[in-house]
Amino acid sequence: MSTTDNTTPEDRRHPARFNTTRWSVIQAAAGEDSAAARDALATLCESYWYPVYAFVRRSGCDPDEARDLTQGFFARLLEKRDIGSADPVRGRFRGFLLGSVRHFLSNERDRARALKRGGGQSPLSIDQTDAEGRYAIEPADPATPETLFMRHWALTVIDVSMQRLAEEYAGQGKQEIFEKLRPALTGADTGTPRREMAAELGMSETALNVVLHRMRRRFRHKLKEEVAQTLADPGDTDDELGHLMAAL
Amino acid sequence: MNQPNRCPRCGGSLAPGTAPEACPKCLIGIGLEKTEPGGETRTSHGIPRWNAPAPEEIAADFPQLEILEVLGQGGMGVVYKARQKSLDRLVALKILAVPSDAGPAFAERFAREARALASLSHPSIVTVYDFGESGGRYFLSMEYVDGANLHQLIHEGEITPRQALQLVTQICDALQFAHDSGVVHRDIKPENILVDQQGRVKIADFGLARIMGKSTDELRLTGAGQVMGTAHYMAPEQIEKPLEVDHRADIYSLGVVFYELLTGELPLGRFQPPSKKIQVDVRIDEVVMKTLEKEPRLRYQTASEIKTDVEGISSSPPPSKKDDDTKIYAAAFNFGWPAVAIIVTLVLAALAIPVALLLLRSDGHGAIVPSTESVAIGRSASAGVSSSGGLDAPLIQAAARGNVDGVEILLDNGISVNFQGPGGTTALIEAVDARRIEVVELLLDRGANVNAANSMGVTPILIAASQGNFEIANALLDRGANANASGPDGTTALIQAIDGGHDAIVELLISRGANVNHADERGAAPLHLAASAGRTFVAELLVARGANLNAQGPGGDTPLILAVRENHGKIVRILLDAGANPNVRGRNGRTALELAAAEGREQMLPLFRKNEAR
Repeated sequence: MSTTDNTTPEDRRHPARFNTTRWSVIQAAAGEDSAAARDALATLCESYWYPVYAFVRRSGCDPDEARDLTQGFFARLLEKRDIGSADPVRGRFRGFLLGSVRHFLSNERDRARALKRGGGQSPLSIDQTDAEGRYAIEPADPATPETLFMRHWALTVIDVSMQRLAEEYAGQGKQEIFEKLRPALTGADTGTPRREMAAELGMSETALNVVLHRMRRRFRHKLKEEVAQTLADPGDTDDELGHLMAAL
Repeated sequence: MNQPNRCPRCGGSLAPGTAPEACPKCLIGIGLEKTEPGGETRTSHGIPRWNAPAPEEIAADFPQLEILEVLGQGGMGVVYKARQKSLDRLVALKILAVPSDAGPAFAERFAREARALASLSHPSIVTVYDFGESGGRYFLSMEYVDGANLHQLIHEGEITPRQALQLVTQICDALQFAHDSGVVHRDIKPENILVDQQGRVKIADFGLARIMGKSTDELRLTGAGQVMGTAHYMAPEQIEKPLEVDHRADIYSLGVVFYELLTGELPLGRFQPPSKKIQVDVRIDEVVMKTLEKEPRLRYQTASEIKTDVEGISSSPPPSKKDDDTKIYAAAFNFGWPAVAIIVTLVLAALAIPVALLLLRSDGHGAIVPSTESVAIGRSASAGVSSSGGLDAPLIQAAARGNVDGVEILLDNGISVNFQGPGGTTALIEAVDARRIEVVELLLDRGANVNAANSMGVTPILIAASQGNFEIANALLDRGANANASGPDGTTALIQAIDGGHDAIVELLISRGANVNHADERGAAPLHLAASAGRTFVAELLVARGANLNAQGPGGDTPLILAVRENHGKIVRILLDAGANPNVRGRNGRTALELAAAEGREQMLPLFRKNEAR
């Protein structure tokens, strides 16, 4: 009666979460044609295409070229049946993807540029306006393609986690709470006094503190869950978060 | 738009157009925060944590529950979040850190206390649904509170004084209700005070300290670990006799929580009244101070009185300016007495050493403003007589009172850390005696001689061992305390620990190389003490470490003779099994066997025969 539950149905079914991450499923397939592995890879690629795009762009390609190359890269990646065996020692999807795109790019450059790339396939729905819109606000700093890739990897992890958090709150009919409190998540001064925020949500200040505490916890959980999905060993999650922090 | 954009919170650069609240560094930082699930992660260093079973391991013992995850772990046990299948409700399942063979006495105490807890029904007290023993594990299943504990809220820092007062009145309600029902919490601390998402207080773990209390030593022996981080919240009388306190111990603990809620800090050493640190009605200072009275009879006698006073202050306008000044003066005076004590010390010291008179003249006015006391002493100390005799006594005084800031300032100003006061005492000895771990650590950090004894030969480790202060003993040994130093009458830390019944320290000392055969001047060795006091665990430990089984102690008695005389059958068995000689004659010219027969210890005779037969 006095308690509410933040546990998602997914959590309930899998109390021991992260035991099999997407990246571990892909690695475990090791050259076998596994539908589960293909699905897992497609899901990861859907989330993490932008860091690849930024890498390609910063490597000196114009927007059209970058889009074609990115599509070509993912087309080949998703076509390949042997990702696991390709490099079984790679514990992180991030490292695998960066290594692969680097390799892909140098191969592509060796070929005649006129060749139609990627066989005209578009495995991902890359919205050109979106991609360029995001790239346009890149700071004009001398970031290398690699550092840019890393930074966007970290930002993507945050975006995806935040999206998952939003979905969780929406699923519980707490969209308004999420929207109102999201700016206060980092503890930054949002310009709105807590008292006012609490009044707007019709709760006491103490209740607001508690609700915010829970929201931070849930966000932490989502972040870790998302990061773990890209790792072969979920035990590396904190280490990976450290890398992401360093990239920002 | 193009000017560098920085996050006001972490100082990291932000991409143009990024709002500070979306600072990616701050957001990733949330993922890296160390969680304190349930807040029960503070364990004293050196004690291994209890190895809590994973959810899968206990699932079979609780078929009525679906164990979801671990919520928190501490010295008392581990808490799981679980779903009660029949009612489809979430519960918090607490498994106590008790060995399965804790014995009938524990089982009885557990059942008695748990029944009392389960009968407490109050909106601000976490409800106990069920309790019992399953698969050799003692458990309590309780209301699951999806919220935060006060430790977490305090550290996330957004509690306003107004909120603090509201929280305190809720805590008072719960405490009054429990006290009226004859239940004392005994472990009130921010981690045990939960707040749900409606902002309602829910106090957890009522009386658990008492259930666990008596088996503290047993727990330590089994490597079960023990939470020591809660000492800051304990009433002074509770540190002395943890199990014999009344409800006023909870009131003191509430005072510490109250102070921390208001100021974000613990009221350690010489602390300032809340109104000096934050904007709060100065009348609240008196309430806080009265809950924190060291003497139970000077404290508030009931929680409801605190509530009444807090509410009275909250609902009436602050006093007029004139009143205000008087109150501030009164509050200041309250805090002032230690300063006066120090000044008196200074004056006395100065009389003895004329050189110092000069200094005191310039600093004598320090007594007027107590909050600057330590600074004043620091100044006088730094004025050039840092190591000249009695003037160093303030360091010893400050250490004895646990005044960390004072100690630090004195040291910063050149007072010798190893100065010996009257009776050869040192600041370290006083800090150990006063059980102030933070001062002990500070002094050690600043080069205090860990083995310096007073003129009676008492060393810090001897004191810690005889007091049974594990944390301090451990810290001293870590910094090179001699585990074999002998004190008055040739006593050692090991002998003191055995004498005091502090088994965890016995174990600690032995693991740090204490000589198990070092006897005192009367010839009493550790094994003699253990055998005559019936300390089975210690006797086993000593025997395993090669203690001399046949040493003749005071009067010529061997450990075996002592065990027979005091009727400790288990120890007789341990000694005989280890090969103790039953034929040595003790003070009355009798052997152990003869004594057993003479004293009519029928149950022991077979033990002797069994060993003879071998």
